[in-house]
Amino acid sequence: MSFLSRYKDVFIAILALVIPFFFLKANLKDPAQMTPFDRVVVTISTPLQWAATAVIEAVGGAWNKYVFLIDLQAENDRLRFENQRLRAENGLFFETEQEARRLRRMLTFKETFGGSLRAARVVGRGVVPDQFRIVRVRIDLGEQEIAKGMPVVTFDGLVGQVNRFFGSYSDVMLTVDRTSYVPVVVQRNGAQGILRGTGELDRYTCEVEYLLRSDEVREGDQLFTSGAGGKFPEGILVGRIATVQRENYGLFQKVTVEPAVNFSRLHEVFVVTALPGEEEAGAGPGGAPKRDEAGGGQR
Amino acid sequence: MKTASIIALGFLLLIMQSTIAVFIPLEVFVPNAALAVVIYMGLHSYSAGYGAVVSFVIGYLMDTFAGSPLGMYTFVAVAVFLLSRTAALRLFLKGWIFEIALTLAWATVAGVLGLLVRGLFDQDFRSLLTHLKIVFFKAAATAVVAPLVFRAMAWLERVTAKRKAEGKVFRG
Repeated sequence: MSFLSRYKDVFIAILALVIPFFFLKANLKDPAQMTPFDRVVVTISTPLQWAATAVIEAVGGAWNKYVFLIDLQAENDRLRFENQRLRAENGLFFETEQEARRLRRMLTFKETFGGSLRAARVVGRGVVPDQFRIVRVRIDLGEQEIAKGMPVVTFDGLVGQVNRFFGSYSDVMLTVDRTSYVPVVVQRNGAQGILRGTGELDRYTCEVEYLLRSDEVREGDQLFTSGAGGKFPEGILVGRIATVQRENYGLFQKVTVEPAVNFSRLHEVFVVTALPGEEEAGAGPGGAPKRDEAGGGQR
Repeated sequence: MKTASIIALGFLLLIMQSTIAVFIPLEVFVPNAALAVVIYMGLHSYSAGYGAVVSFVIGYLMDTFAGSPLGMYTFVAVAVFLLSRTAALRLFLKGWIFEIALTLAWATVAGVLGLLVRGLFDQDFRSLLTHLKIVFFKAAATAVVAPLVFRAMAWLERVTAKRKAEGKVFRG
């Protein structure tokens, strides 16, 4: 075995150790201070470096594109989450904006209404199972503030009347309730009748009783409270005539009414504590007027 | 075939570690998996010449990837290979705990060597001392991935040996 083949590994190892040392020395030097040997080393190492970089960029570029796709997926997920969050936020803003609009309308209503009103927030709704129909609403005013039978209104129209108390809350009987009755007048011709709830479970509807057959009414006519009996304030929109059924016999005609208020979307309401031109009665048991005693209300 | 496979593995690991580096918030915790390949060769029965040449190539690739002065990692890789081979600590290489421990030790040596080489040329050892902590963290990160790299290397060895044996049988 020759000397060279015997120590081949050692020579190679030493070369592998020394060459990079010279590479490093030459590359770290200021070009102005380079020796001819350094220049040779740099000249040799530069194409090698260029080749290595080209391979790295080619393979690494393809890999990074793949990783970029993974990153894109993560980015996509993040953006989807962000989108959901913004949608929720937007929903909240929309809700707030809607609330502000409602409150503005309520304020206008309160200012134009001649009597005394107390604002209340709807805190609960009685719903018919499976029908999603509201049968009563609960508001955050109690016996200390309002009295049974007081009309409840919104800027859309008449909601109903205060019915029962639960501490500092009270239930409102809606105009569509079977036991509710309200004196109304047809705006177009002044025909008068009594609006009574039908209590149907699948829709909000009322009927007008005691409307004479001779009174010319038609679908779409608006009904307002007549103020008769002094229980409900005069001129509050109640609903629109949906159907008119006039038989060839009898004194009265059958008229169904679609309420003006969407009971499913009630958020804030007013309780009429004093009618226009009427002095507000003292609140509390015995102090509040007993409005259900006359002029419509509850049967 | 075997040489090309080892270099390809080192190359692949470098690409992966440079990609992973983007997702790891602290650069010090990015493992130097390619160095684990060099340490593996040092701890196993690779001849000095063969291992030094492969370490040279892997170190050269590390320099190119890292953007460090050309020759720095090349020198460190070859030096670590030769040192670990000379120390012959492969006798203790039993199970992944020892693989981690030995990789931690040699990766730390590699880091310190790198600092020394830089210091030698920059003539500024004091500022490099502050990097010692980083060296240890990086070595620890490298040690954690070492068992995986070692398994990959062992698998490569088995596959290339099998191919070689099949080739011999085929040739007759």
